[in-house]
Amino acid sequence: MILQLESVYGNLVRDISLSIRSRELTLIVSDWGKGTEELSMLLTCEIKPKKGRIIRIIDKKQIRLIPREFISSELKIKDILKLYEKKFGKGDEIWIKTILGDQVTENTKINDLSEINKFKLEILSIFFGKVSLIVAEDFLSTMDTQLREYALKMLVKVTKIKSASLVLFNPSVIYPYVFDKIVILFGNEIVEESTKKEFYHPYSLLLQNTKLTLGKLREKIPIKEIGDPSDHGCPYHPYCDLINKELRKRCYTENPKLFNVRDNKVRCWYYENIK
Amino acid sequence: MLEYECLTVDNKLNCFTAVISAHTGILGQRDSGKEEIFKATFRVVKAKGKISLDGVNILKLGEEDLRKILWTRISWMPYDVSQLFNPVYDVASHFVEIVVSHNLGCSEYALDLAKEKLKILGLNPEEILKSYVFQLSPLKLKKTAIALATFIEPDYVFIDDIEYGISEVDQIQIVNSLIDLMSVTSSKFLISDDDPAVLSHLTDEVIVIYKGEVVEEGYNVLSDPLHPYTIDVLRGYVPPDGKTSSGCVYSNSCLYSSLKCQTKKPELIRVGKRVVRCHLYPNI
Repeated sequence: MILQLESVYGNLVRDISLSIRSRELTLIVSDWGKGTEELSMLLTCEIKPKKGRIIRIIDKKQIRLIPREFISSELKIKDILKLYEKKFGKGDEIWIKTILGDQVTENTKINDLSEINKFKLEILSIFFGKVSLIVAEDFLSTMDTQLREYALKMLVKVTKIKSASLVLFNPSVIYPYVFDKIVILFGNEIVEESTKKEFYHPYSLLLQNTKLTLGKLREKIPIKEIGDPSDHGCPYHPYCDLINKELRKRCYTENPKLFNVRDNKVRCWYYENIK
Repeated sequence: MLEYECLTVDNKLNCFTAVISAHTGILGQRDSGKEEIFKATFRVVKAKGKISLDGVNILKLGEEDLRKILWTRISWMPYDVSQLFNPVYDVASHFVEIVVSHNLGCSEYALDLAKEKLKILGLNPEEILKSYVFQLSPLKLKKTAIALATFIEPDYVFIDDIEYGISEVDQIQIVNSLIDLMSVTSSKFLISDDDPAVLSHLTDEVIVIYKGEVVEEGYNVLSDPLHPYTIDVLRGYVPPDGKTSSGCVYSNSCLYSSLKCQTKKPELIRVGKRVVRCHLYPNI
């Protein structure tokens, strides 16, 4: 275990319990907003929790952040590399050259770089100093669809080369086979944690089964409209399919705890007595 | 009628020519030059060529004349929709400002129009109008931006990258809302996206752009693609950044590339109901 959040509360996030193990790849699925931004800052130890505890056995300098918006500047690549060196320690020349490739030089201006090369520049920070944890904000959702797989492959490869752990934020469940753990957030709290790529929470199932595919002109795609989380009871209860007569009162009035369902943890009253 | 005649933006867009007569999709990656078409239309970047709106060249318009057609005849929803809003004003102020500054009516009229569009988009108008942008979820913010771009029914609405920064569930909700909106508005939509699935539901005609050049254009482009780049986009994987050659812009990444492709630039040729720029198709 390199980082553990124990029932952490921030200004927005609520009851976040999450363990990051060494060399583990974790996907956190949530719409990007102030809540996820706060969780990212808690994971990178930029802020302290309002309530709860964060146990960190690695140095803060061993954490790298891949931001949502890539760097945009009139500076040259070499200037940023110098900055990395000053901040994190000596860089690994061979990997830096390999990642950059032969199409860009250290004298290339950052604003002249293509989107994928800006991404490469961001991940180069991983090759400076010792790295144990990489926290990547939901940059994939801001990239071209066709580049996402390539970028994710590269990020995972780099994480493995450095024997580090990865926490990636994304608004959808993507490439689930890549990750050791998938955590689904709704209303700034964890509704499910899955290690076997199986899901039980109705919101997780919706995310897993939703795919925008080629279709006919003006053909609407059947989907349940999901609005804001409820401020009382279970945050997902206005949109839930699992509510029945017996559960209704509880779902409407009490927020469930995380229940163990097979290898998952699921925040849903439906699973209270199902193991 | 909106017509582009050899619109060129230095190093980014090469002689883009098109007549926009239906809901049109522009398919391409972020660096493809598709964004430059929008930026040039709204005069955010310097461009050569001609953009003709009912015979008037937008590129030659004076500042005051340009201001008059913004929002009323052409409007734009950028991919990062927060650029449309001023965070210190509530959402309602943005609708009012457009109507009042164009002498189209009073604030009550603006808010009535806004409420109509917000309702069609499945939002609660009362809640949205009194909110500030930072209080809105990514989905609500995107829908509000669509309402702002369409509420006075401009002739052409430019929509950039629907899927930017939102989940697939939210993307589907936006696509469904746009289908609803298209059925009740007279505006023509120009939608630029890198996801062909989005365009297949929304646009009659598709223009495919790669490295600043139109490689394919017409009807049924997505159901029956001809250009290797379009095929790769539909397959979901485009090799990143090939070196450029003096021939076809896609020749270094193309599975069917030959020596001819590397050295000779193909012309746009007509194949059935579309045009395609590829040596695979002989100019008959």
